[in-house]
Amino acid sequence: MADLVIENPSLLLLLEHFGMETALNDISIGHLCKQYRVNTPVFLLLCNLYNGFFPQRKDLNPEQYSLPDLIKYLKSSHRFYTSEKYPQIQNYIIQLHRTQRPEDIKQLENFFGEYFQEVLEHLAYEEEVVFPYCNQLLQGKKPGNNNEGQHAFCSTEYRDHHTDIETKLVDLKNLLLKHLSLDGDFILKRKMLNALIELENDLYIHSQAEELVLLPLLERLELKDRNG
Amino acid sequence: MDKCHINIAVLEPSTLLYEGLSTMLLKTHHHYYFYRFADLEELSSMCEGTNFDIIVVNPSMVQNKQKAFIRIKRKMPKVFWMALLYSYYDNELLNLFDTILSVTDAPENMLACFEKACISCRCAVEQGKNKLLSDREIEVLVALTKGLTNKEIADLMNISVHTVMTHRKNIIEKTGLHSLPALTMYALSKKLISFDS
Repeated sequence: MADLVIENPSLLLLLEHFGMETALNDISIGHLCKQYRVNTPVFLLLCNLYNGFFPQRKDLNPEQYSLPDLIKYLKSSHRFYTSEKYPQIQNYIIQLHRTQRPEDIKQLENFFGEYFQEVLEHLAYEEEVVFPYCNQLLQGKKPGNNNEGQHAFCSTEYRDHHTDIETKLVDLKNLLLKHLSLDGDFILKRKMLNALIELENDLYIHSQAEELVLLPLLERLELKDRNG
Repeated sequence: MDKCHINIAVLEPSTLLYEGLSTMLLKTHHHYYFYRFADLEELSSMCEGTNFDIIVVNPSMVQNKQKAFIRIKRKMPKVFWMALLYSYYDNELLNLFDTILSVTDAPENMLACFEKACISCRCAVEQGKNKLLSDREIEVLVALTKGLTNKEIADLMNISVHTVMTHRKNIIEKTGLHSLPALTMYALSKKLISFDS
């Protein structure tokens, strides 16, 4: 495992998401997962995603993945976004006030503020609707009937949410990189862009994990549920 | 158009002067490329294929051929025209040039003249680069930021909704921005709209 982290340090974040200790010795992935009681296929899939290997949906067998472990990862990465990454970027925008004209920053602030709000809403939707729905399905309850379909989960709507979040992030990146000149504030601009790119990558992995595993697993559970 | 170098055409019968001028200019840090022409007709036949930035002309070559000269000038609107003098010509002829050099000028002054011409060439190119969007695309963008729908924009600009969509597609492609708030910020930063509007 340590070799993998040395190759790709962003895997440290993955370890963090699963609460794994970073004193790895020479422990293998299999041992590590056993030690922390994490489903190895889920962990391996995420490692692959972080390493830039994106399998096709048809090549994966959803059966082997543990839904609770996947949700554990998703929830933890939500925390990473809301309490670490977004505040970091917000902080950079606040710092821009020192060197830029307030009217220039105001737009950027508004744009980011609205965007962040949207992200929070989407994450809240996942936490309050999608994950509980998954748990109910896992426990063999029939959530659709209990709640009069109010919480019925719609995967296309879910995908739209994601695309929207990613598009706005790309916009923000392009604005900073191509169009806005932050006179002289090179360091801050670099830090912001790095943070945005890191966030973009992580959000992409996050959405891939949901597309590749969460949705197929849910569909399978729903089918089982419907067939009694 | 690649602008790492400056293309200079020279219309000067004297080999001594041509060699002297090019040697002097090649000592500077600019990347100059020289093209020598025997007469106006030869220059005219070449002017469409090559992007000249500066053309140095001995006014004797255009004397009594003013009309042909003006035609060529019109064909090459971006060129900076320099006259290289070693005898007297009347002002009517000299007024056709952007700047006038005399063979008796100090080398520093001559180089400064070329320097200035280079800067004006570069500025023209930079302006072209800065102008990411076409005038019509800017009109569409401004209308979008005001919250107009495709149909409203089409009516306002007397074009079809389909054309508005094409403009929008091009705006997205050129700026890399998809959402309206981001496009608004772009328009603000380029001063296409003001805060009040």
